[in-house]
Amino acid sequence: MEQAKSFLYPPGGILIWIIVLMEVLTFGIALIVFRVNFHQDYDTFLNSQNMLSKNIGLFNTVVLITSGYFMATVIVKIKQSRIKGAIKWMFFTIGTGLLFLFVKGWEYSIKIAEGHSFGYDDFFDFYWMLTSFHFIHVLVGVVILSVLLFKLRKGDYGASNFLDIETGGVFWHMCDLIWILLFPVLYLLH
Amino acid sequence: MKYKSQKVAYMFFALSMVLLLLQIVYGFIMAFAHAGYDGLHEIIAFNTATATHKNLLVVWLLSGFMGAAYYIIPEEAQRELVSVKLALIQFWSLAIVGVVAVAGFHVGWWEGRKFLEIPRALDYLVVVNVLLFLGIILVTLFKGKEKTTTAMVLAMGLFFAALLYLPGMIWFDNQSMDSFFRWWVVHLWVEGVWELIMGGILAFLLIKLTGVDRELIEKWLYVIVGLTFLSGILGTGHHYYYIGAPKYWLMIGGIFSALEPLAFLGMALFAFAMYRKGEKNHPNKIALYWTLGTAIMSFAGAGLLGIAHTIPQVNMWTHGTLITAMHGHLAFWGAYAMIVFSIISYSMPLMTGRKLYDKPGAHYAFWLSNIGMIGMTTAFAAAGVAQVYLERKVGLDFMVSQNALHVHFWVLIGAATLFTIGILYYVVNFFKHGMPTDEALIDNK
Repeated sequence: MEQAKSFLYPPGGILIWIIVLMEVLTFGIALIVFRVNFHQDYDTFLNSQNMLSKNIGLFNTVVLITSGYFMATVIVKIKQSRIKGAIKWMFFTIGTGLLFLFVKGWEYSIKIAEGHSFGYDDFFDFYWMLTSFHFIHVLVGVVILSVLLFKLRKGDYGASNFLDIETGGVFWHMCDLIWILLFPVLYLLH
Repeated sequence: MKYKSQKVAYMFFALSMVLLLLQIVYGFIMAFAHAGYDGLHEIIAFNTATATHKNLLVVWLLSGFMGAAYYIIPEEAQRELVSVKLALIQFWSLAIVGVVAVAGFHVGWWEGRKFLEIPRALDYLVVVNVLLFLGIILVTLFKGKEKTTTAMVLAMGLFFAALLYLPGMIWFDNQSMDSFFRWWVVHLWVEGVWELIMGGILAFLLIKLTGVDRELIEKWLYVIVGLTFLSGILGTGHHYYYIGAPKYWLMIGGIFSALEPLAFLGMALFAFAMYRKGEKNHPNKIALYWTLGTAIMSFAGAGLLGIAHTIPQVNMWTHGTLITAMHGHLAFWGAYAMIVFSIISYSMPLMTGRKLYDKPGAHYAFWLSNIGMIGMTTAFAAAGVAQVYLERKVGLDFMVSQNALHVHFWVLIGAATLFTIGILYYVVNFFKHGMPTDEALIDNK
């Protein structure tokens, strides 16, 4: 147990935390570069930023944070050995994840229909690259959680064996975290 | 040495040593040409010398990697190689293709594509050769008793290195498209899959030299592999500046290549953490020097000097100048030349039964070559900064600015001489070991 509390043994294992660190660093650098560019070409960026739908962005933010709450509930349930509850909340987590992807896909289709696709201007280059990288992460997250759900239903996990679920949970929260960085910086801040 | 067939490695290491010496000769030819003494111009023009210098580097490193694989895989898989005869055929065909390619450069038989000058006909022979090599290694590994992480990472690196040779063989009529895919080979080798090969060899050496648990070393090997791929694959973007590729590569290349030093830093921290943790006092200190040296010098050369000119705003000025040569020399030396030297220093006493690692020559080799290479890198840096200023800021013609740089090349020649003395010590020490012998076999049980 002492080992479990040590710095080198965080929830989900240290390897996933190294990934989280790298991801946050990568997106962080990209967002800083984005801000620098924003200020160098303020009018173009502001003009293009205003073309984004803040409501869709806000809705998706709420969806993803809610999904994060569901994921945390899965962990609570599994620690209490309530496997059925864990399965139920895992369904909700994946469902809200899919909802995010659906809404984001819809937003993409609007942008493409408006002609604001990749290559339109520097702002949209950043928008497409940052959000599509994030989109891929959520997609990967949904796949990971689906595999976990499958194994959960098979009865592979319990109150004494839930490291994989925690690891998946950390990954899922990372997707929230990155979106919470992306949304204000891309959609709101000017 | 535990298995008879590990002796095959010797042939590849010996080829490495010979080609390395030849590479250095071509380096000197170019350094003198840069300093204003291009006496061999009619016989070996500068473009021939630079192509030969770089291709020899690639071939001797590959030969070193192959030797390393032939040494490591049997030991990790716990069985003999499936066929020593095929390995020897593979060796001789590699040597012959290498010699023909280098000779061809001198009579104008080449494709004028930087780093991938080898003509198409020889490309196919290289593919056959590498397939044979992979066949021997992979069959040995999968028939073996154990499939260790170290062996799998090494084998994966070799497999993907072979696979990534292919994009360089696609024909394009468009110069930008050709450059785009050419970098898949060059970059994804040195900043991608070769790092797996390096990681595999490094892990093997650390297990043997420090005595730290295999489980621990291999766990961190996974982390290094992960960091390498996360940063290295999209880091390819830093070669797509100003060659006609779309503009978004500036951003992708800038961000992901800025992360690349972290992979090397991770590797260095890992090596030193394992060394400090290790309680084993291995007698072959010089192999440990080279191993830890690899970790430091690759971080300095590939990591720090890489990031020094990887940001688009900097690269806009330094692209294709001697700044690239500065980074290239210390990166290849630190990451790949030194890891080959490490495995040679470790394995030669075990293959031949002669423990020459305590000889002063072995230590001179380490220190002189490293100090020499740092000197060369510094000379390239000074020359590169001056070149960027004169040629790109002031706007002098290429040759006018080159003429102003002569003095830096005399410094380069001085440092290179020191480096070469170190290398000569190493090569002499290598051949003094003599041929590997079955008497050096130790009992497996």
